[in-house]
Amino acid sequence: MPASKMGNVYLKPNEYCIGILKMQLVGVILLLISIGTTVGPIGTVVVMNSNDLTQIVIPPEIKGILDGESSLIAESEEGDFNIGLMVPKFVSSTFDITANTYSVTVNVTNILNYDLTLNSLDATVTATKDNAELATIHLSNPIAIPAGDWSMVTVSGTWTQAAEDYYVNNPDASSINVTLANAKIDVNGVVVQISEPIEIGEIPLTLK
Amino acid sequence: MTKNINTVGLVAAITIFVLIIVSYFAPWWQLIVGNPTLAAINISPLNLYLSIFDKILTIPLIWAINISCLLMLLAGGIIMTIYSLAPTKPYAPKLLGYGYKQPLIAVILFVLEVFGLVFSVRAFTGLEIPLMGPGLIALPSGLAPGGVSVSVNVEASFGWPFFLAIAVVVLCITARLYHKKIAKTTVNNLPTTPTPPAKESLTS
Repeated sequence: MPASKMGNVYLKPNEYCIGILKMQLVGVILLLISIGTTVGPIGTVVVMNSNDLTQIVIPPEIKGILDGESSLIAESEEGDFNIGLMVPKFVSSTFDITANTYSVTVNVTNILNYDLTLNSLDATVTATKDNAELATIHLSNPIAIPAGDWSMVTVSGTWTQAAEDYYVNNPDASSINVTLANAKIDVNGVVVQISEPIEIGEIPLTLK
Repeated sequence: MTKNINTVGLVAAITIFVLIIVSYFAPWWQLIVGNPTLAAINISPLNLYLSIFDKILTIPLIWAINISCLLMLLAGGIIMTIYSLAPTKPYAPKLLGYGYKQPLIAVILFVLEVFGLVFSVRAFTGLEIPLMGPGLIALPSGLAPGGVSVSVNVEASFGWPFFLAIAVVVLCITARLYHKKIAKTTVNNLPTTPTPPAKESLTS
């Protein structure tokens, strides 16, 4: 029988057939590898989660949140999901008459199961009674608030002429009811701007 | 007679293995939410790291796809190595045809995945997630309480393994083109076996 050509080489008939078979075998092996590497892992996961196929897409933690569990991002004795965690509670204040500055210390509670960092806090203090702008406040340094814990946060600022006028015109007043307006809070890079006033309550006006 | 080796293919195969190792530890694309980090997404074809509030979340389907990509790249690297050491074998073109495509498929799938993720989130939620660089995502007003606007600092970046992957793809395509040169050189160097005349073959 005449020699057969495979590529540019002339082969005997049996060598030619063996060559063809080898190439076909290589092709089949590559096809099996392609199918195996693709179908194998995905098929295995589908079979393992065949009782509930949503589990292959939705992580159990997220599913818990969707089902109303809030253990991932909030803790609450009542089991309520409460994200209103940054309302400060007044603790104390100090005033510097010479420099027209003051500092206010508030208690901030973190009810999340996650450490937070208060990066910045800016707001305007207004009199609740007539909305007169009394002072501006800002946070000078970031404060870390551990998970499920509280931290003292001291903010400082300067007071306005309106604040001085109130003090002069109300010599018997020992405190003043104030509200935080235009509050802007940065916690872990999440910036919350609150256009609604936040009532702080009575703060003492003792300068002595 | 010197043994033919496709050196470009061999280098490509080695870089495929290097790419596999680095891709497991370093992401091709990363999205950081918040500062300090509240959530992080590190994506590579071989590994998805999804962390929210320090809790690592695992999506089984993505894990399976990661394993699939790992096996695919590993097979591509091994087959590319076998081809590179014997590029003149009759089955070499088949090996090359399989091996050089694997990194290319991985890169294409990854790009589709990232672009698909970003643009689908933008389309369905309105959140403007950046593809690269810093950004500020504002929560849609319907999701935030009344009188409150919430925005979060994010930063996205493509990691250096992604650019390594592109380099690997270029090397593999170059190896594919270099194969033609090797095949031509092999043909020119082969001693051609003359076809015996018909009369002689009948009588021999």
